[in-house]
Amino acid sequence: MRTIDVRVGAQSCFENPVMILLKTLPDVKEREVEILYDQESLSEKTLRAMARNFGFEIKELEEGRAVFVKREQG
Amino acid sequence: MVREDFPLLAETGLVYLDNAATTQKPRQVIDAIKEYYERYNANVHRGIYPLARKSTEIYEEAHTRSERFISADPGEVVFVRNTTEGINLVSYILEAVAEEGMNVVVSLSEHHSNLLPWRRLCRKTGMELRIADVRVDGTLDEKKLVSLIDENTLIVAFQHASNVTGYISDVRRVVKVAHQYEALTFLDGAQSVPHIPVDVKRLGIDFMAFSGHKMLGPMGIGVLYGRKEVFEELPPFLEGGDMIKEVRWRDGIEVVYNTLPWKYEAGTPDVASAYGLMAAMDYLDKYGRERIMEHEVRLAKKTMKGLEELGVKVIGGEKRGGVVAFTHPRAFDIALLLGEKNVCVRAGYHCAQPLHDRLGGLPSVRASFYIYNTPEEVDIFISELEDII
Repeated sequence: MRTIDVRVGAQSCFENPVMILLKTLPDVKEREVEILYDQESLSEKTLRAMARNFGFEIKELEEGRAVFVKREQG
Repeated sequence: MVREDFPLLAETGLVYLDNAATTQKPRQVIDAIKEYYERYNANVHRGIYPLARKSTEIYEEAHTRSERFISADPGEVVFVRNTTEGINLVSYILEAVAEEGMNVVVSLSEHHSNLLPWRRLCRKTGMELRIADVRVDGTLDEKKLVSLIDENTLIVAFQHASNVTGYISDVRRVVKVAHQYEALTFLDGAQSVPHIPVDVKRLGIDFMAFSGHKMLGPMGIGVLYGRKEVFEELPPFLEGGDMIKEVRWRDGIEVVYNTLPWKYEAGTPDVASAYGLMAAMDYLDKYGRERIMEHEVRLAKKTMKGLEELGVKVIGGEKRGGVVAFTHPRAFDIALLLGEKNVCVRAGYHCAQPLHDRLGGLPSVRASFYIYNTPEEVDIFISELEDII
């Protein structure tokens, strides 16, 4: 399972949790992806929106960690 | 109805509140660019044939139109790609007169584009970069800015309107002190010229830059104003093409540069965008920038009231144009979720990261308004925001 860590230290307009996910998720080849995040800067609503938009379902969601699994086709 | 002139807004129903970043284009501007390529396309200042003469006429008219838009004299408007390029251009040509022991004065509230070119110039020439602190609310502090000016100041570079706090600076107060010390002044007009009437002669500034795309015009064209007496004394920036009058072979290469404004316009310019920019200026003048600003201020005040009711503290004070921003640890997250609801706002540091550091380091969410925004859109923004935060 691939892990995407978006607990970035210094954020910028171009390097922040949301932008990293927007850039990374469309290219995920693996069936499952683990996302490590900081709850201060990323909400559950956003994770759900990201999963929906990029063809995933949320398999696990706990404090600071989410696991997305690719939605079955058809 | 203004909104119907904007195909992207009319067709999508987007609540577009990111106008400090760029503005949508009315049909009149889109049609002008298309018309240029369909009917007038030829290189300028070269061809003898009628089509080339027409294209040249259009390009020169665009300069005259832009001069009129900011009350500049003939020859004082140079077309550049954008505000950033205009500021950089001046910072490079000032190398010719910059010396160790001199200084450049800026404010901490500046956009990176009005900070980094001056930092580069100072590092290159050994001048001192003096940075004036902001007020507690993040707005430019004219008193602190002018206190840094002295007889060794080469130039004072500052914003007319902030892209974060919306604050509109007291330009004449700064210019008065700068000129007492015979310092030059550069005004970043990116967030002001599209929204309020600007008369460069009344303000007394030496340089100013603004971008076409922030005022309904095309991306890729901007204006650099330079007071003629100052521009004439300074060397060219880029060389070749239209900025040349003569290049002769004598004992070596001898060059005679072109007159203003062409001296600062090297190579083939973006004539179609210049034509589009004229259409944007005509569109704005039809409504009048005073009315546009009044409209934006009304929307900003409504937004501030709505945010206050949500317990959100806005950056900046009461004196502002149509920009409203608030810091939040989940700024990026909020912007994404608003985007899901067709509400377009900017999140981050808005190319003013030092200012955000000064305010605590958090990113901010920014709503910025323009001619086509409505009170109903403010209601949608506040209502969607309430659901998110």
